[in-house]
Amino acid sequence: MDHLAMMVEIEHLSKYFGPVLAVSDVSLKIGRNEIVGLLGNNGAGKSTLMRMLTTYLPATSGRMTVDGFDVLTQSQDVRRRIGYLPESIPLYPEMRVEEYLRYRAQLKGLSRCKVRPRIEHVLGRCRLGEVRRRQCGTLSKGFRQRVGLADALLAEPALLILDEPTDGLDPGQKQEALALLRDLGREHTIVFSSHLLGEVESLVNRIVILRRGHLALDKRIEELREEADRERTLRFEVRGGREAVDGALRNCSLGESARSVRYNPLPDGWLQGELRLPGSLDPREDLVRQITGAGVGLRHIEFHRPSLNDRWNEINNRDVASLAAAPSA
Amino acid sequence: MSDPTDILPQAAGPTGAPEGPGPSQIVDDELAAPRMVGIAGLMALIIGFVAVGFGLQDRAFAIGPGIGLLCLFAGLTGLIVHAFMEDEAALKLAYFSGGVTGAVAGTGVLFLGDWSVAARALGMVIALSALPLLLSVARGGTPGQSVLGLVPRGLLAAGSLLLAGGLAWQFILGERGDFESIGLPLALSILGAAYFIGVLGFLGWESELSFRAGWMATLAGLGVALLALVRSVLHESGVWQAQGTAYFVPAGYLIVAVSLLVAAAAYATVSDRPTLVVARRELQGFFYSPIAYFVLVSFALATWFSYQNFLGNLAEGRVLEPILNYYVVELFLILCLLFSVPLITMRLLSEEKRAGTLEVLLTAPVDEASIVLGKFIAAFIMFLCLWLPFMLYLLALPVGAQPGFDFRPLLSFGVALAASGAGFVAMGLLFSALSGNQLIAGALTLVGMIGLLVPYIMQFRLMETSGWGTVLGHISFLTGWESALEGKLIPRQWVFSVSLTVFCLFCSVKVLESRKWK
Repeated sequence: MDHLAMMVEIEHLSKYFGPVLAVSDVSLKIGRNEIVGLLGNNGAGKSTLMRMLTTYLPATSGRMTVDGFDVLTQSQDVRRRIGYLPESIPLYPEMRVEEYLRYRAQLKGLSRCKVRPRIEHVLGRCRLGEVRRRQCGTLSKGFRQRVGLADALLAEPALLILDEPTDGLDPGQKQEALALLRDLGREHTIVFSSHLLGEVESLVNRIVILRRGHLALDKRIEELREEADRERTLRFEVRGGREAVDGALRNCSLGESARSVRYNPLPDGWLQGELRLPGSLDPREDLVRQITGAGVGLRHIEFHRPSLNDRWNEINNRDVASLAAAPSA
Repeated sequence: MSDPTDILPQAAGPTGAPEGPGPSQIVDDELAAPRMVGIAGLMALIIGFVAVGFGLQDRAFAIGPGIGLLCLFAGLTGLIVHAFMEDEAALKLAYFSGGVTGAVAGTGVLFLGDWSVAARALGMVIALSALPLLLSVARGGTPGQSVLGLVPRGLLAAGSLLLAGGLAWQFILGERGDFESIGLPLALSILGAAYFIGVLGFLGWESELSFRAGWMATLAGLGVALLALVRSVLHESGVWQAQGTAYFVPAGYLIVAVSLLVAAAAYATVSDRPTLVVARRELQGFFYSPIAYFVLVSFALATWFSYQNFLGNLAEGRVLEPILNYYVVELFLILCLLFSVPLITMRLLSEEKRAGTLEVLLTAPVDEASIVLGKFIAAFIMFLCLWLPFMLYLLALPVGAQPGFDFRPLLSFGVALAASGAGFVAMGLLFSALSGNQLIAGALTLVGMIGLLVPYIMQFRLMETSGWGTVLGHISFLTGWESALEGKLIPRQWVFSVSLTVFCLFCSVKVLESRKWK
């Protein structure tokens, strides 16, 4: 891919806070108009990575560029191209929303004739019209988030860096925030962090998972879905002898995978069977016919894909040492 | 089963808005408190007016003219507070008419040459206080109400006219060497400037009108400075003999300095440079917090106390030249100074650190030096504001009694005060950058201020025994003030303050940058 087509390039980035390793040898490339979800537990290094990307903190080693500008040596050029929403959304409590945005717009070097239209634009975009004259200190969490986001959007930045933009919002606000982000993703590259994988699944086109400072996973969402498809299983619940079920399975055109079936007795006396299936094979109709033909009771049959949350748990349970050896899974 | 809404209390009123138990009932008499303030203010105003009137005619009244003056001010403040909170159209109109009367009558009194100076000063005060009353009518006006929109514009135009006319008149009188009658144009131009600045403050510094007015003031300031400079140079080179040398210290350079200051201040209100943007926000932040008012009021009281003491000394004839020494180098005033500097500077950077706003600030395209310098400028202006009442009290001296009052030591004192103040503020800023806790920053600054006072006390002790006394004399800011009050500006006495300023600002920038080395 063309060098300048990349919005963010991170090479072997590490950060120590004294003896504490916060980010360890992370390499990452983010293309234009990608929406990247940065996931990890508390202390995984998400915020540190974002703060380094915003030029606020320097890296201990490694190199980062944003839109072709080096974060360390061309920090002012980088800052002109980013919009940043920190986790705690610090605002000046005594300033009114409009005043605050005007102050930020001036700081960001917007020309005088552009300040007013841009403020009107972001106020509308983040639906802040009703609180424009309110003091920031009196705003609710949801409005504070929106003011922070409006600030990040002011200078039409190419890259939006949002640290947990949905944290602490109620479910309705969360949906709203995610919808807004999806909308913004059409014009901006977005890197945002979150704790909840399930929440961001519908929004991002790429997922990066950090675990104790290491890059644990970096995959496009389609790849993850394909992987999940590869690992799909067929689950069914039957009542009757195991042999009879096995016989019925053998009569289906399942090939080798018929042998991989595992049984799991359910508390009500039924038996849950699960078998791995290759590719796009769909033997459900055949299976129903064979099982019921063998006189075995069947009450449920479905495909099961491992969810991203399962994947998340798997990564979290993996040993850190093995991650260090092979950083990108 | 019955409709579930039957069991629930009626949550929504006829308008659909929830009818809570409290706030909607309070709204009805929300204006009661401001109206009480307004009535009390009116009463105080009348009492004060009568007392001052009696005082001016040397007739006895239940209260003296001093207390009367205080009543007058308190009453005006109460009326202004009420005027700005009132929503009733009739009352707003009444205040507006009161404002018009006050402005016209107050300005008119200035022209009455046969009235006493004190009466004319009172007229000036009334004309000044009329401005907020006039502006209050335009509060909350919408663009649709074009008549209300005209009020600030009209006042702005009137202010500019008074200012320009007054200045031109002064120039003409100055060229003629006629300084006896310069008081009236001076008062008119001060009144004009106050109206000009007051209206812009009312409209907000960010409004379009303020922006244009700011640029005009910048250009006007630069123009006057250039004019005065040419005049001074011509005079100095002997090409042309100007008359006004005595007034414009020497040969007009005071006018050059003042107009450059005006131009700089006007530019600072309109510029989009990050330093000035930060400074404006910080200054605005000061006036949103109660601390600023607390410091201003307590310092005004301290200087008032000091002034009364000074007047007492003058009356008893126990003063030696330079007499102003008895006003400035005064224990209570110095104590207040020690405490007010930390109160101004403690929150500058530590609050930004604590709240996390520093992170947002430093991820905008602004460098550390701009932030530090912006904060410094704001705190420095605030520091100078502290001394405004002090200077205003002094104005009463020549107005009151002595025609021969020499104001020039005050100019050199202003320079010395600015130099040492810059040092104090920069030191406070550094401590504020070092700590994320306001109180610690404030305490450190207080210790630093006491530390700066120590050389003054120590120098006398060491003067006789060693050369260190002289060294300490150069470090001590009070020694610098004393010689400035004698009319001497000795560069070696500012070297310490100026280097302290530069050093502290440099260190503050480095402290902010230090997050990059850790």
